[in-house]
Amino acid sequence: MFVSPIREPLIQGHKTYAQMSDDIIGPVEAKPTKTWMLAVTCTALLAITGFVMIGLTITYGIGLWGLNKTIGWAWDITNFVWWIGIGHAGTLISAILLIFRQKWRTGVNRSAEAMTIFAVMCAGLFPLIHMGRIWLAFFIFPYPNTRGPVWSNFNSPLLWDVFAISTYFTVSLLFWYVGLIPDLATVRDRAKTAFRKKIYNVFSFGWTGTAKQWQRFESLSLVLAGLSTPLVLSVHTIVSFDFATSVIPGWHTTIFPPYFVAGAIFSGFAMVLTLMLVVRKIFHLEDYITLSHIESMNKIIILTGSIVGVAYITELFTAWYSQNQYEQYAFINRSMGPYAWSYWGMMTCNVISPQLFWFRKLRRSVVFTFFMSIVINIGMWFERFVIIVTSLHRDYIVSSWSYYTPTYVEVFIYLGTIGFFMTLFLIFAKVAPVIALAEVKSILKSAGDQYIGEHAAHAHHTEDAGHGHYETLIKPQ
Amino acid sequence: MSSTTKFDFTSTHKRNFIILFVIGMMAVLTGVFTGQADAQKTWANLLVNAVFFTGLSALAVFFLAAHQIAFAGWHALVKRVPEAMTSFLWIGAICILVVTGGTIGNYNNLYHWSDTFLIKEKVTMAELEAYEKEHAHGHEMEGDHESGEHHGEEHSMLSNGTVVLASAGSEGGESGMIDNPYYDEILDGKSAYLNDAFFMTRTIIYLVLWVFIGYQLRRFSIKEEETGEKMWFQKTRTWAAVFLVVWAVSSSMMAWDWVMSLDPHWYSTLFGWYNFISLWVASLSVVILLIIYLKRNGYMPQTNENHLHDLGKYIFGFSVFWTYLWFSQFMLIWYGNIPEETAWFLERKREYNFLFGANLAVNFLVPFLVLMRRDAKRNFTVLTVVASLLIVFHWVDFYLMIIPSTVHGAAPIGYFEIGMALAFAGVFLYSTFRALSKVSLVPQHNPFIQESIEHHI
Repeated sequence: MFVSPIREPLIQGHKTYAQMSDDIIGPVEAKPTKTWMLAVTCTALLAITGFVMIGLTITYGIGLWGLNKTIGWAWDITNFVWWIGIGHAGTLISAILLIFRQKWRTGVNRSAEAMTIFAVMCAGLFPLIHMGRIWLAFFIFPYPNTRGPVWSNFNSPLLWDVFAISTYFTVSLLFWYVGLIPDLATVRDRAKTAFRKKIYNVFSFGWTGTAKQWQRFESLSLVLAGLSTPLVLSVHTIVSFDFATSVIPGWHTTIFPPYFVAGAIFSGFAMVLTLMLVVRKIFHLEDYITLSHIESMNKIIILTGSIVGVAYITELFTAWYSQNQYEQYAFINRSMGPYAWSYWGMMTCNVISPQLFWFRKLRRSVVFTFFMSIVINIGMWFERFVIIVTSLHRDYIVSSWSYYTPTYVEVFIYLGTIGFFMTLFLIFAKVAPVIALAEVKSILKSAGDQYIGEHAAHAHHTEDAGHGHYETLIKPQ
Repeated sequence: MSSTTKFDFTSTHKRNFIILFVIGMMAVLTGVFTGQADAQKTWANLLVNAVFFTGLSALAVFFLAAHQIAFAGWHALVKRVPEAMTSFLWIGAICILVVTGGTIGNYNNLYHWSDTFLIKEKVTMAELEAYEKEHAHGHEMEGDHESGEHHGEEHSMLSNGTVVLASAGSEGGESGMIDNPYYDEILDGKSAYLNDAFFMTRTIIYLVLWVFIGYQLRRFSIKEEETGEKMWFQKTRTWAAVFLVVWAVSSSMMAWDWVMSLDPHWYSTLFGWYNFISLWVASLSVVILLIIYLKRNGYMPQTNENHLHDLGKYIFGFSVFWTYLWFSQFMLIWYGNIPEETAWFLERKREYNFLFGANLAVNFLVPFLVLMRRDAKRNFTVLTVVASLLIVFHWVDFYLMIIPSTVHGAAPIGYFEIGMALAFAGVFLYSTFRALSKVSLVPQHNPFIQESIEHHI
């Protein structure tokens, strides 16, 4: 297949297939480093603290939180939406970018998918513990029961959430695991000890890589990609319905579904960047996660950040345009009320800062990208906080107006989920290849730097008069 | 390359498009002279077609800009077609300016908010009398407006103007100023945005930017073809990025201004994106039809079912996305059940129930069910049928957004409406085919051309 001379290579360093296996499987085979042990200890401690706080909440009830009769939803649901949003990048990269034939996705899809699963696990915790009586959580499932005609309320978007998120989790898990099978088999084939061979053999379902297996693998991947594509939209759409189906000013607005989806992808990409930039550095994967990958992801950050920005402005404009005093007040209060700090925090982090990526230098700066990925994650947390808490805290009766501050229990539950997420990710990075080896190998011939780009082996003799100028267009670094 | 790389715009083509235009115009004139279509209806239909056909052309600029920015190699072979579609943009822009200018110049009454009498809280008796006298002539039209659902009780008694005058007059007293019974507080509140001067300024800004950037992208592409220099590719990239930024803002605002403000009390935050995607699906369908036409006539031999498969995937995917936006907007308004919001849908359900259902059914089910299979997207006949239906029914989508807000009471689509659309189609096709004949159909110096030629999926 012909590759245009203006495309940048996605695999650097004139890799052979064997080298690629060494580079990517190597970290899985090496003994855990001290840094890794230290990191896991810290994150696990944080996670344990969070679980202790969850234990307290379950024992004593959600009275331990800062909620009150006006603000019945706050950090819990904010964290829930934040984590669900982060989970979106995985499916976007594996399904939508697959459909759009973006080859660079192979460098990051494995980690993004793993991240999705861990993020959804963290998200799922919050509605459960918010129930107060978690032992009755099974009531959310509609099943023939002995409670008389008491069924779950099918008109409630909260119930739709149950189906949307459980479907999403199942499909994402399958997608991720199916992709892992050939790579786990590679780990097995390289294993030195019989025990290790046995373990990885079980987890790779005895994969041998026959043509028939690959054919089935391809069909299954395609079906799962097809199922995942609408899921990228549906999950956060239904999360947005939790708010938009109400008649609360600030919540009831028709732009919510696509705007939540764009915001979710925005925050998901930020989290992928946060994790991948660290992984890239620690595991020395600079040849596989190149500046070109980072630039592509930053372009998606500009795109989704701008969509979110247009949505913020649309909401603000329409609140004024509606000439509905409640709508107008909701936005005046957001931007100038007691929670104005969170609104302006959100605006700065989500609307203004991603626009800096219009500068090519910044898009390709690893340090700046890492910094921005954190800023965006903070901004997207603020967005949910703004939507949820500021819309609630001043309701229709002035005597009920209130201000919410979290208690230490809520803070540590939130930090605990971050610890839990990081712990799972660290363990994953140790036991499985963080880059989809089989998929990266599949693009070597069309994206390796020995085949395309200025260092390509044949570049000198096939170059015609016209093509030479392109190299100035793409300015490889 | 062979001589077939340039499209031959023959006199037969010209004649056919002129005939299309003439037939359309005859239907329009028949409608006007037989009284089938009054002034309001004529203007309203002009707006439907002006927005729709300008949109087809503006979205062609979007097609070029988005693919340029995304380094979409496959599209190099087909890019001449959307490029040619941009040639209609300035004509569409003039049509939009005529319609919106018509409201501002009081030649028509499409944009209700443009009536400044409605935003005066106090008026003199003489002013009120003059206003009522003036509007008594066009009573049918104005009466429909005033008894519209969004004016509520206070205005329903205005159908008998004398009653209001008598009571208002007695309160007036010596000051000479009385409460304006037609005063619309909501419109007054919006008047900082919805006023003649600002509205026209915005309209001109969007149109000038689109036409200018569309022209630039086309010009760079022709320069690239003529000179083979690579700098034009880079210039295209820069202007494509500029267009995307302009489009991000203007696509929503044009929908608020030209379409949503026809019903100035109603609002929906999703409206802009909904309009954008509706036009996008229609514009992609036009691209598909044009390519298939060219191929059937022996042009573009290198463009094959792989390229059409990709375009077919687009109309499949974006039709589902359009449905998603349709559903989100409808469901949230239905579920919230706030009268100010539901009024818009109720009006359409009551008077246009069939079209309302058909719009959703055709624009969703046809591409979804028919284009699901891979071989359907690679079959030119199937694509032709689906793309044609999508163009017609996205036009219906705009008809449903515009007509119920302007022509009150049922206005089914008849020969007049079809005629107007055909006249526009005639001009659109004439302009597009003429542009196609100007430059080689294959952009031989595009850096992605070889990728596009070898494209195989």
